[in-house]
Amino acid sequence: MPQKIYIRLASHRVNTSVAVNQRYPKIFTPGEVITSQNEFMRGHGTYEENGALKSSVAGVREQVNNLISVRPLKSRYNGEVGDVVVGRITEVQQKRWKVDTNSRLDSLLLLSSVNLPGGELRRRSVEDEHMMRQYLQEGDLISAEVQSVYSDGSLSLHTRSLRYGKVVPKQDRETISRIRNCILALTQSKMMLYDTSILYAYEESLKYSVAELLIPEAMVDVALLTQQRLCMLEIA
Amino acid sequence: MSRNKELISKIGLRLDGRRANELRRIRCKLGVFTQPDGSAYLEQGLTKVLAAVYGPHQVRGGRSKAQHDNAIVNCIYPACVNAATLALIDAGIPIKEYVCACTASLANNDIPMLDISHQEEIIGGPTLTVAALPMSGKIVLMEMSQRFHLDHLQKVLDKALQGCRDIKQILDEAVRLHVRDVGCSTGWASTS
Repeated sequence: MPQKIYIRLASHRVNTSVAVNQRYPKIFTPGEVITSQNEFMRGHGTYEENGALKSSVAGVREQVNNLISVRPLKSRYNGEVGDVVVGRITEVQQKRWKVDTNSRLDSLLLLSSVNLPGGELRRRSVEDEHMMRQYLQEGDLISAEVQSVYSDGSLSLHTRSLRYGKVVPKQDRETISRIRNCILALTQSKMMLYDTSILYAYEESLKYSVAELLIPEAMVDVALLTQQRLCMLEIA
Repeated sequence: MSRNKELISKIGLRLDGRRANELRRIRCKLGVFTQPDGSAYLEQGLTKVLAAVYGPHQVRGGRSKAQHDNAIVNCIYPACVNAATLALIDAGIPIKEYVCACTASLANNDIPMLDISHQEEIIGGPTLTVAALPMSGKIVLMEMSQRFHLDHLQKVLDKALQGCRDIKQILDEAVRLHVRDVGCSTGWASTS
């Protein structure tokens, strides 16, 4: 069956902004002076020059007691213990895998923090080290939980539960794609992603087919309907 | 140098209708791509630049090449420097301040003029390209296409730095607008 193709002019582009809130906090941009008093400590996103505290990113100021930091709206993933992440294996090393989790540094998955196939709990032997590539190889997609954060900010992962491990993208593929497209629609309109917003977007998207969800009008429609339902939730 | 005289007409207009200290029109937009960490589109006159930032991420291939506190950005046109600055800000990468680049030249052997277009560059005299940190006034890069008399350097340089400050104003406005728009949509919630 021939697929329908949508082509449009750049001038007919859909405006994806759903910014409704007119009040906004003070925005700092790189090089801007935050304060000239030197009783404050510099946090992330700031630096000191000539006795003044200046911002080094574009974002909003956050203050905890004397610590001032500027948080950019967008940055790489900063993991915290307990987060569930999806990552891709980039390297197989001795006793550990390197995993790309879209953070600044690659994360580590130690051989000792995976459940070996077969489910037995025992010491990891030399044979296990040789078998590592059979279990997870470069390019595999895994889901895992953050076990600890190293001092340089890189993450140590574990998959010691049946919920984690290699992602098998065969079953419910349409549902997965639909959720993916819903998330795309929400992010295109810069809406927050959390369980409720994704659930609402999923429900509102059911009137479209999965492929139709990639059309900009449909995406904005889904985002707007979701936004409205979220607003209703806040009122109630 | 006789052709040089025509760069600014008697009533003070240049070939494209600008005055000596006017920039070309700058239009810019942040976050034009979704795949990279940061991206920007910038139009300066007829020069159109798209910039994308991937990273920061782990060094791939050979750890010895890793440099921890600096990065190198190669640019051909001054507008590329401006676009790269915007893309870095969009990616949330800490920088000391805006890096802006601007050109300046000498018209009629006397009048310094700002932001040289391609046409003026071909028929005109020496072009001074300056990339600077406009707030602290530090010069990052300075380049000249031909020689001219040292007496002219200071006023041409001042003009170029003024251009950098003007460009910084425009970029800053675009960044604030973008941050406000995105922030209002996300409800200023934590994204990290």
